Amino acid sequence: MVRRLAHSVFVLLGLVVVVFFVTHSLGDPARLMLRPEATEEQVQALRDTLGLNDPILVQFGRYMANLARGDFGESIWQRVPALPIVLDRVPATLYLAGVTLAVSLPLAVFLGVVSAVRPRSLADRVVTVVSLTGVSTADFWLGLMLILLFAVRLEWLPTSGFGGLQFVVLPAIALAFRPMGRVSQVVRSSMLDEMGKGYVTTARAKGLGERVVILFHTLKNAAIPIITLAGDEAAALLNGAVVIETLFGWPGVGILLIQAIERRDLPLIEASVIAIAVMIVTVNLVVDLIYARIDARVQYR
Amino acid sequence: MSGLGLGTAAEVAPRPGAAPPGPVVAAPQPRSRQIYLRALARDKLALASALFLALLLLAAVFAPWVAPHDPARGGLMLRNQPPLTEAAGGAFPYVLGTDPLGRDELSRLIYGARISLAVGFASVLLSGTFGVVLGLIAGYYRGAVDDFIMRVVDLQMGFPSLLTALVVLYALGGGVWKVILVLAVTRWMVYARVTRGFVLSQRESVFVEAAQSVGASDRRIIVRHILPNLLSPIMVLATLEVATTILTEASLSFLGLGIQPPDSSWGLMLAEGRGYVTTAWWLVTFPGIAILLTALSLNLLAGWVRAVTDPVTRWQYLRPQGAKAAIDRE
Amino acid sequence: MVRSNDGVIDRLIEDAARGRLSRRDLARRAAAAGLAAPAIALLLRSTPGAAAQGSPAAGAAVEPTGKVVLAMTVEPDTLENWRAYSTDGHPVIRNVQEALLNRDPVTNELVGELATAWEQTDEVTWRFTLREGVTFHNGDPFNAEVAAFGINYTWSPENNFQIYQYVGPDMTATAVDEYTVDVVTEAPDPILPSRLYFSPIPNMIQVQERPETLPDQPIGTGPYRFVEWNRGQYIRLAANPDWWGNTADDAHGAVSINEVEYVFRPESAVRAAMVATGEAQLGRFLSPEDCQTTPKCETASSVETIFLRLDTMHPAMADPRIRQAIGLAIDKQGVADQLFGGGEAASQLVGPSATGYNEELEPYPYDLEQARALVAEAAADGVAVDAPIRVVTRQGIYLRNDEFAQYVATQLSDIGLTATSEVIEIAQYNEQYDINYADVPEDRGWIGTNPHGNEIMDVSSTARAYYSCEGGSSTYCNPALDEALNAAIPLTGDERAAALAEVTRMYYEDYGSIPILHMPLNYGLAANLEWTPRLDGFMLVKEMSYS
Repeated sequence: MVRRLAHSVFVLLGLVVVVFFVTHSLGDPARLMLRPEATEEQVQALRDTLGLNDPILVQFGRYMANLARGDFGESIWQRVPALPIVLDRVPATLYLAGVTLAVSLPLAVFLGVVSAVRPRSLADRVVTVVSLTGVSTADFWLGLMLILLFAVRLEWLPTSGFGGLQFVVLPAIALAFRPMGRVSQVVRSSMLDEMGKGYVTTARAKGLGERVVILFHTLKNAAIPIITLAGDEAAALLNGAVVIETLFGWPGVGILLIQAIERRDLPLIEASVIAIAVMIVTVNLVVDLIYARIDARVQYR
Repeated sequence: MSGLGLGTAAEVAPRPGAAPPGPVVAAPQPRSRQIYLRALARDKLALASALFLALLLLAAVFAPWVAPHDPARGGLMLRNQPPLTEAAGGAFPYVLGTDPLGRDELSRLIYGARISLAVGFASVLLSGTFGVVLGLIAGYYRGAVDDFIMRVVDLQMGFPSLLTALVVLYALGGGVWKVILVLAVTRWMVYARVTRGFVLSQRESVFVEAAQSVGASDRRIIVRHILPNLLSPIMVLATLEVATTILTEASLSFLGLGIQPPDSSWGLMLAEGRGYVTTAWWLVTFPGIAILLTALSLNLLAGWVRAVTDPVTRWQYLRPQGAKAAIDRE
Repeated sequence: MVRSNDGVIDRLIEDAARGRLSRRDLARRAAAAGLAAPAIALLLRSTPGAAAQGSPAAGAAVEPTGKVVLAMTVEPDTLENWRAYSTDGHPVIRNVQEALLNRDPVTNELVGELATAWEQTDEVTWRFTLREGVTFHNGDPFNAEVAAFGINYTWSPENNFQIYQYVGPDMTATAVDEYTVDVVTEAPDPILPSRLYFSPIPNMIQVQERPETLPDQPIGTGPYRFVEWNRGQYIRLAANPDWWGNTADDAHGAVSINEVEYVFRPESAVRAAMVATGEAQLGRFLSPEDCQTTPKCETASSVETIFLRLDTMHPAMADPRIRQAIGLAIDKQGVADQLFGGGEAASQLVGPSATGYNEELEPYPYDLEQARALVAEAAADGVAVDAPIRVVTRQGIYLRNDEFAQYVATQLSDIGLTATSEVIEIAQYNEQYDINYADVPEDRGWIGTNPHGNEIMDVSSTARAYYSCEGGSSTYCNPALDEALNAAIPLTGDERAAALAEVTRMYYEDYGSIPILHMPLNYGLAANLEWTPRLDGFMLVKEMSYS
């Protein structure tokens, strides 16, 4: 386990390096900050202030040294330290992702099981259509429809904004359809695979109640792909709920990253990416832990 | 895709203790294509799916002959005409309406299918192959190789896909193939993770151990024993990914990083229709339905392929008589 | 602004005073008489009955009540005073901080704000008489020293704030006495007052001692004081009880709303939904369709003009016949009506409000036949009409920009040119858009579709940026035009207008760029919010009131 943790730290270190070189290849923030009429001297002066004129390796060294002290530097755009800006946004992202997963995963497992118990039945077909619809629906469309229906027409919920439960409902539903659809299909498929195996037949023959068989044996044995995909969906939510965040005015990290990229705000891009990566690497770590618990055969030496 | 299924189906090793019920013994060996075609004809949904996909592919390939209008020509005066609007001069009516620039929605859907299908299938094929191979290696050999591959997965997952897209397109410029590349690069990890997870649980199973004990090579074990069992989860995933990539392409287009006009794609059509959700519903609805039907057909077809290649359920589909009853019984 | 309605107003006031009219009726009838909202607010305040409802203090305003939520498109980058030139900045900043001058919301003429009078004392000197008794929100006094410091700080070439793009000659402000400021320009600058209307005065002590607080804690003299900015969510302001305008009769507005909140929703449909549900009272920049879903849709002309900026060094577009053909190929009024829900076809990059607007020019006609003929003629003369042209637009720069770019590309292909359209990511676009003629690669072949905003309402700033060989965003170069422009810049009055109109005509006749339309802007309002959009787009809450 310690090893696994150490590896995750290496991943983050790797990311820190990659992000630095990637962001520094994306264009010149000094040019973008100044107006077109700015003279070459003005651009150069700003580049000097920002330290962009030093050799890339010197910049890299400075960046790493600062990072070692937890300092990402100052946001070029907001002119305050980059890390607090990002950390300020992390709770909103976690909140939305958490509610989305809390809604979608149980539902996905339920639908998948319903579907797998009677393959090719009407219920199975309905679940398939519903989940594929969820996967194929553009999130911005869904979000707008939800706003028009629940906020404008029915006036049950606020259109947008950040706050308590009534604010998170619509964006979470808009986001939940995709993981719900994807995970339920994988649940269905894994369950079917498991149910084809001998022990299920044996269990049935022994006369155990079918529900018990399904829940305790099949689902547990089918869990690995399900957990994997669920982890993947969690990562996707942490990484890219940009469209929904934008639509609903949700102050998450995704939208911040987009704004930072638009302005080529290098420190802020770096801090956002690392913050997102820490969350994702943690999710992956948790997924691996769950693997190990579910399946004693998957152990870490 | 079904070709792959046919090839490996015959070689599927009996699963541990699967002890298929009696009829399996009597099941016909899948040597003849006809048997499968007949089985397909009996599963109406699968048949409909196959027909839809075939029609779609044909329409896409022969778009210039199929499309009733030029997808790039319109006129401001024809802007946002609702479905079933008559066209001037006895031309084919605008069955699905027109877009904000007065272009025929149906023709754009047909032309858009070219790019959307190319983007969907090619990127799924690329990322799927890459991801599955790495996942197999990681799961089967474990140890340092596994650690390394999975940490690369972590790294790529942690790196925002938008930045990846930006870097690739900044360095290489835009275009369909660049978009496919971006989507492949940003979406291979899920296959690797699912594959690895699956292999981990299979690797130590009785039959793999048995195969190892009789001295089968690693390659043979992977190809003969693990890969076939992996097929069904990966196929399900791949059908889902086709929809996801087509939609992701939309968000790339919207940021100016994807397909550019005069090319069109379903994703781009969706993105272009977003300003008219309340006033011209057909602009987002039809491309949305096209994506849904494609993903749904693929999924149903994959379900069918999985059923006919699964040693347990295969007989129910392939047996000439009584299949209906068998299906119902399930 | 009330001049033409004097009779009506007197009658209204009289009726109100005699108790025949309720406040509400008064407001309604004033509106019916064609008065703008701020005028009505003033009127309400000036009627005896209205004053009685408010604070007992003589001449004081009605106690401000209620809250207005403004649904904006994007969050400002910073609330520093120099940022007040920008579309996202001024709606907030101009309520908190004030400039020496403002514009009358109806006539667009310059009027005093922190200055009460101004005059040009010689060719390069402008003298401003400041308003007395003005204090900043934190109690710091406003005087000539503060004003001079603020002007020098904002327009300094060293600081090089983005507002510096509205270049004219460099300026230096000095305090003459406690309430008099002289602004001296390096060269004659007849439009100096317009530049100063653009730049609010910051708090000197804050700039000197706590510069780190400038971006997100602005201190000003305005009718609203800054309360809170929660980045990514909202900005809040509250009425300033000590605002000088509460007791002045030339405040051009009155504070009747107590709290102001700005929220940011990039999607037009969501802003409209917020107004429809009452979560917001004003939605800015709505699409024409979305605007109709709000209780009250106000469409206003703006200083923004959409035009096609041609890379005139491109092998095809270097030929004036090709440029003319491009001008003929676009159905300008069709674009305005169909894509933008109204607006007028444009003949030049500025609207009639600007000095130097040439009234004689007509929009280029829409004539595909002639356009095709011109392209064919140029092709016959060996012009490379097949050199690729890219109609480019920046992601999200205005509503329907992508449709417009596609339309242009289609039309150009139709007349025999080789054109495609392209949406470009923001930073990449800015990097490539904002370069000068000399730096543009010959084969780039861009047609830009940006809007141009002439807030200064004078052609000279437009011409410097886009017409002249040196212009930072210019892809056109004509030494004869530069000469005429340089001669026109120091002129004043009618001479100036005529000389600049001549520059405009030269540019027009050489097809330097293709003006398309003066962009209308749509605002969705709550049913009871009284507000008339301004030509310059300012959103001053002192001009808003509830009925």
